[in-house]
Amino acid sequence: MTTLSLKEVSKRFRTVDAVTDLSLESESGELLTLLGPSGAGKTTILKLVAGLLHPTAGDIRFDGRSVLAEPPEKRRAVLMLQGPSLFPYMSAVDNAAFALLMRGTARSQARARGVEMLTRVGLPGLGDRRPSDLSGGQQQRVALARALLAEPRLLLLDEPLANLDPELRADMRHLIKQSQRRRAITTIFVTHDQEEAVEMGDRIALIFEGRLEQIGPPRDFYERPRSVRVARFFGSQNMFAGTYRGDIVATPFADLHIADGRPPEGPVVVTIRPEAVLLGHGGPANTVEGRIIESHYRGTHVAVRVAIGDIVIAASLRPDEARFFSVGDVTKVTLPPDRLWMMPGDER
Amino acid sequence: MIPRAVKTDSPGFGHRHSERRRRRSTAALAGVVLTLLILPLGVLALFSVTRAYFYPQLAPDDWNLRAWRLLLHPGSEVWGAMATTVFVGLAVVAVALVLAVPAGRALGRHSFRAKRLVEFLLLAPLLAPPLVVAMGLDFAFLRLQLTNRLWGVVLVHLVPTVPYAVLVMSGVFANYDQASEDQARTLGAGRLDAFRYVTLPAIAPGLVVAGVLVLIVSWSQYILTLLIGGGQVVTLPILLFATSSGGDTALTSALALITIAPVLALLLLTSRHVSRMPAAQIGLP
Repeated sequence: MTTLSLKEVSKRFRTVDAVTDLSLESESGELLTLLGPSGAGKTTILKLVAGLLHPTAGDIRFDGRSVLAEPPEKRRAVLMLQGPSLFPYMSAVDNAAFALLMRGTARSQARARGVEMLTRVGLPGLGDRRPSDLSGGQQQRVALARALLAEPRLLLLDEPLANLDPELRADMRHLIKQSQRRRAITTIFVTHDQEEAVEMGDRIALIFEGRLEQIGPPRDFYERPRSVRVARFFGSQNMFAGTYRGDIVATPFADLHIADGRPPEGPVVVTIRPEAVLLGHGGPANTVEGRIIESHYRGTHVAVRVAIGDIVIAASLRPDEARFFSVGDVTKVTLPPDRLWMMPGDER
Repeated sequence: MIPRAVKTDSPGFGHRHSERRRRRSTAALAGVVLTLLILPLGVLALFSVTRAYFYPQLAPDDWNLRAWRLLLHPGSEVWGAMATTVFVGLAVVAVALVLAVPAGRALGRHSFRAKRLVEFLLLAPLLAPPLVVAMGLDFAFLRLQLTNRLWGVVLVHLVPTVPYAVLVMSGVFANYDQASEDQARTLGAGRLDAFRYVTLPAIAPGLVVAGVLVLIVSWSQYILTLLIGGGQVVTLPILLFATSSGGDTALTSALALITIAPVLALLLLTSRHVSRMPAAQIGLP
């Protein structure tokens, strides 16, 4: 149970700023996903926390105490990398027990604990195998056992599932999350996969170009993105430029009432999730007429596109609702004020 | 009419064809190499067992083992020279590898501004004519009173060997993924432990290649050994040159074979390691 805090941490490689002025607090025992496109500096952040890199500026604290002076082997911030990161010259057990052996635990005792941990991650009886004789998924389980046996204060996972099949991935996600929860290990999970971040993370820290863009529970990123870039990263389909004044956003197709969010008046971008868009009935506010131009059945929902003048809005209907609409129909389109979300509009 | 393309495009045909051709050319190459390597040795072997062997004769007519008896006699100088050569060679290998591992690691792993310059300086002793290098070094070693000593010879052998070792090791490190080492560090291994348990096993084949290369170069040094050793440090090449100027063909041939044999044996023993490494990995073009 350790809290991690980064205080205005920067890391510069010669002329490249990998991380800039990053402040971040993890709660004890939480799983925080670091999400961002590749090259955003996520791995650099992990290495800074692990002690493999030294920040150019700022401070890194575990439980409020600076660890900058401590080398990686003293920090107990255990890294788990993507791909085959096992030591190829050691058996699965020796890999698993590596941290214990490094700490001087007697060999027989270390091996016994290695065997036990391998069983716990679902690899009973495979201890004597070499990594090359294990499948990718099994190797990743050994890597997890190895990390857990190190009794980490922090678990740092760098896209550990990137090389696995979708099926194995789901299993491993579950196993990692379960192990992490049970031991309440504060965990930083790096990924560029937005879906994985949402599924794994208690909270998400979204990193763009070495800066923290937004941090919060996964839901915020869908419903309350702080910027157009965040909304785009999370696949927002409906974004309309407008001007905010009073409680009204003037957009090219309608003046929209807004219930939530109060950025300064001026240019804004309004967004709404497709599933929040209502078709048919008309509501007390924000109702316009549109024509259905596309409709695609997607199993769990029907993706519909509605043209309002030359603006197109994406909506999502339940299959049973969708029966009442067909392509070409003119219908009422309602954008409920409490589901609209505004972002500053001057950035692109 | 069947278009011609159908026949040649049939799957497997072209592949099998090129496979066979590749195998044939490999065999041819092996043949050439073996001929170039074995033939001179065969001639030496013939010369070593005869007193006289002149042009029109296909085989010598006077067979005897005089030269071999002389050289392999328990009191022969060969044994001392062999011991000296082995000792110098192993010492040079040890020192060269100890120097080459950190140097190769720095060169292979990091890129820095003066890297090209450092690489050039490293290769410089190989580019300059050996005699020039030797004369200059002799002068310096005289001043340092390192001449006529075994350690002086070991030290001077480092000049032509360290560049090769560093080159090989920098290639090895350029291809070595540091991730394993990082992984080990966060699992509680200090720098030394991480090197010993994780890096060392991974670079071991490279170390074997570098070591063999260094040993071969050291083994065949003549000028440097002669100048710095001042005739006091007698290695096999020194003995060989002295014998050869004596004009006894049989003796010279037999000694040449004795000089070559250990190196050849070593190469055959380690060829598995050497050939298994891609050229790029051992830093050779």
